[in-house]
Amino acid sequence: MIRNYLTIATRNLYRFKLYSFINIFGLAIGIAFFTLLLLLIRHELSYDVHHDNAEKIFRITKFVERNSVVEKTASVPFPFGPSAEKFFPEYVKSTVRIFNFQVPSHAISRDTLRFNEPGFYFADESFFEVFDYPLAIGDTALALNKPNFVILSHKAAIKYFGEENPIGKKIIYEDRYPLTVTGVFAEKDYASHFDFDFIASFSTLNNMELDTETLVNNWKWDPCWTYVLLKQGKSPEDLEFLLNKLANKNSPDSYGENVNIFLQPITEIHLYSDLDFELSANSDVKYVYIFAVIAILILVVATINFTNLSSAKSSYRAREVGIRKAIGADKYDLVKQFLVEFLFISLLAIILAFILVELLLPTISDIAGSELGFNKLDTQILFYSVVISGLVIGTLASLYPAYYLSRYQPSEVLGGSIMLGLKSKRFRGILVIVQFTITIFLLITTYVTGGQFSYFKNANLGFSHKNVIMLSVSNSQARFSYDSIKNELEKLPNVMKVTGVEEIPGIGYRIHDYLPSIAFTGDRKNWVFVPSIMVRPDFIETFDVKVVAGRDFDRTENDEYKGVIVNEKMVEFLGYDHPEMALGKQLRSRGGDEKIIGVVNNFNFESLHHEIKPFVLDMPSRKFQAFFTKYIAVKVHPEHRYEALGDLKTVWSQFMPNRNFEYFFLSDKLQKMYFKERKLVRVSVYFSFVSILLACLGLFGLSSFIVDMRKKEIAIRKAIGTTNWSVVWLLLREFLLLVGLAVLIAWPLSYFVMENWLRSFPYRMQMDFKVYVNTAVIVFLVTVITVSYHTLKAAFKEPTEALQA
Amino acid sequence: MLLQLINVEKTYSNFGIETVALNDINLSVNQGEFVSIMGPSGCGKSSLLNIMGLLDKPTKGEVIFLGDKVSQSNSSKRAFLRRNHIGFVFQSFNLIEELTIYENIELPLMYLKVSASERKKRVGELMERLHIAHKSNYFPQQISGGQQQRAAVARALISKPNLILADEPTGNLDSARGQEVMEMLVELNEEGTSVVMVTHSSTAAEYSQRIIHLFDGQLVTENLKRVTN
Repeated sequence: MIRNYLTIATRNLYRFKLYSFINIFGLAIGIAFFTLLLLLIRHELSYDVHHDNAEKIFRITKFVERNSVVEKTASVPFPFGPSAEKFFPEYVKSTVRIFNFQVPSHAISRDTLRFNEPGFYFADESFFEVFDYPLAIGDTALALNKPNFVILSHKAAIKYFGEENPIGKKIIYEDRYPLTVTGVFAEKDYASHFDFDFIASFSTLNNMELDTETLVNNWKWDPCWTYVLLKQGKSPEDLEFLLNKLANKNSPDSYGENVNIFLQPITEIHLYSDLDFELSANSDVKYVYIFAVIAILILVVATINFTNLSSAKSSYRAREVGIRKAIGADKYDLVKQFLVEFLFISLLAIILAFILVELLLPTISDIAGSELGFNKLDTQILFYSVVISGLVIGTLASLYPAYYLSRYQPSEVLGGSIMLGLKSKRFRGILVIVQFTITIFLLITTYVTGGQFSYFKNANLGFSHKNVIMLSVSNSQARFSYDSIKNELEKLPNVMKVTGVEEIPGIGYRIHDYLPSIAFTGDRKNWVFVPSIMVRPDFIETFDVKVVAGRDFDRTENDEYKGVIVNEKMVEFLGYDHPEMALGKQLRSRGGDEKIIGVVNNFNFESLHHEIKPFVLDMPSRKFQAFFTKYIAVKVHPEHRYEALGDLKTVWSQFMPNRNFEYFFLSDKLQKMYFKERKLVRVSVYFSFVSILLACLGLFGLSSFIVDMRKKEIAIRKAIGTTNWSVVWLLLREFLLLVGLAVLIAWPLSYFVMENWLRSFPYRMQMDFKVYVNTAVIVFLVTVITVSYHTLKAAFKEPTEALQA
Repeated sequence: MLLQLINVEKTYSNFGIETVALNDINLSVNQGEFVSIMGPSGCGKSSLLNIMGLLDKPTKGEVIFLGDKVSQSNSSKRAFLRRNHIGFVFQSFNLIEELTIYENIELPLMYLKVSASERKKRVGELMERLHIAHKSNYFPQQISGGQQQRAAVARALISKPNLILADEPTGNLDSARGQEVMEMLVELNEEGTSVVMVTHSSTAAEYSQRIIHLFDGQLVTENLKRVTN
């Protein structure tokens, strides 16, 4: 019997070629894109689950809160890990510290090869006790057990050694320290929040001329990403409590009691962590939910297509149903027959979906910014997802038409007393409305996310970042020659201004504590935490920050010791009514008694995800100038950016002959902060296009059936004198009405969802009514274009043929 | 008695308007009988045939088929009886266009779960007998009306039913092909199959043993025509 079902299914597919194409292709697109989103979601959820002890590994993070300013760091002081291990052996099985001097890159060389490597880290010998990053070559027990040992990633091994076996060979760290390669990591087939190319033994630091004693005992600086491996059956909350006590006791008195320690499960870092000094930019679980919703919506749109077309087409099968019933088939036989038939179509769609997934995987990986489908697990997921979603859509979409078809009464369909296909008209109408509501919703989402992203890109940050080139000097000797470099740079024709900064303006800042004069009682508790950056002279001019009161830093005024500049928010925070009043007021820092010498406008010193807070610009004392000069910011002539770049490189080589030129344009870096929004925009553009495509395919097929069903009516109307265009309008009206209803449903829905999304940003685009009007116009136009082919054909056809039928 | 209708009534309701299609019909068909039902268009012939063929339920009254009361049986029970005991022949042949002639004839046996080899044997024999074996792999639209009707008769016969219900079997055929089909029905009838035929054609009705006249849903006369052997 199954063979009979398949025979008739195949012959029907051949007979209704357009329908078959639309149905199979539409379903395949639905399955393929659903699968791609599923891969994307799975990828996001798979971070760090590859460690054998994933559930027992926690990162120690530190929150320090005062006057509602919270410093949240992903890293903790040097002694934290070893102390945890030493004092709480009943809880802690092992700890590992990851350290990179908190600099953006390290100079690595081998013979003539020389690169600035951002992925260089030092790690404790216990690295492999805690983590499972598999080695391709080398012994995990020996690879980090001595100073000056280093393990390379697969990528780095190829980069420095090509096909050679690198084991036992040397690379040079920062031109001074030879490191012996003791292992090579296996090619990456996992996802992790920690992306590295070099892991050097922690003991190497002992061989460097560092003040190791100060580092070992320093509870103030937080440079180590520290992970603990809990003992079996021990609760992280208990350890957290103990670690809090440890931190409170050891942190400097000024804020010891404000410190809170949190243990972060390693598997949650990628989706839930957004702290300062993250090892890499993390994602957000919110986007996983959004992708899941889009995946479901795409599936719904594809399912509706299938259901709608199949039920419309079912009228062509009514007579067959009647015949089969007359010769003794019961309802179940028929449901079985149509389910088999629809599943057969699903199977064809599944095959096509595999091809589509293969073709689209690189594009989606690129859009998502993640390498998808690279390992065995992903291949398995891909396979099951395509097959299962295909079968699920196939079954779901078939239920209604199968049920609907099997209900035909033979006495009605064989006697010709039934208006074929019109029975399910209302149901199909509802489905079209649902489908278009989703499509319009996705379109509005695309518009709004795109709008917000471009708002971020183009927003006025209150300072000028265009044409500012940042040179990274944090880990080089250059910062000790800052003044000479600045002099040389300022001589260049295309250089307009030069300054030095501790953090990248618009992206990062540090939290320093200050004691305002009005609260000055000598009691340390009145110190406040304020976001700030240490800057060198000419900061204000380089970044065109507006001075609203007072003056800029002045070298001749000893401002390194005596002067700070604050923003308007800080003036408010300190309780002054206007900027002038704050001038000359004391703001004691750790460096000594300082006074407010200037007030600047409220510029966005961090990403637009955050509201502007009180802020201080401070100059480091001469002793610490080099330490606080991590970047040299150079404002160049807008029309000669690239000539200027060449000149900067020449000066760089003059001062740092052994270090590769390392620079970035500030504007580019600022835009990268919005990578999550960018990802969302790209995904929604893609998927709203898919949704429109699916909805149009469905509408195109449906219009062909509806026109066919009404051909007699059209012929009669024409015979009695209706014009062709009235017929076109008659047919078009029906579809436009459905789409119009969808617009009316989608508008408030989208407004509600998008307004909520926008509200999560302190700085956001204005929702414009035009967005809604534009989407509606697009959808109406697309509808008219889609259905006009069949309606025009029907309207301009001579009526005789249909009247005779 | 093969089939008996007792006080059968059929009304259709459309937008609140009730139309009486059959009114107080009492009728019986014996095993081996050939009955024609005649009457003008809209007199209820097709409704009567649908009820006799268990394709439709009467609004009132009782239908007794092979001794069982079936007028209110569920669809599965009625499908079972149709499958095993009733064959249909329609004016427009009603062959499934996507199936070949062979596959159309074979279909009832598939619902009866007859084995493939048995099906092949029975369909082959029947097609030979009805002279359509050479059209086995053709699709309905590729053969003549007469051949299509013969295929439809073959499909009705393949399950060896007790009753064949024919709805205007010659309506779409020329007189020669019509005569062929009628002779075929008579032959079957003579082999013991009961035939109930709805027709407009008095020529076709002449082949039956009994003619029932229907007018406005009511049975008006019954004429005895031919005597069985």
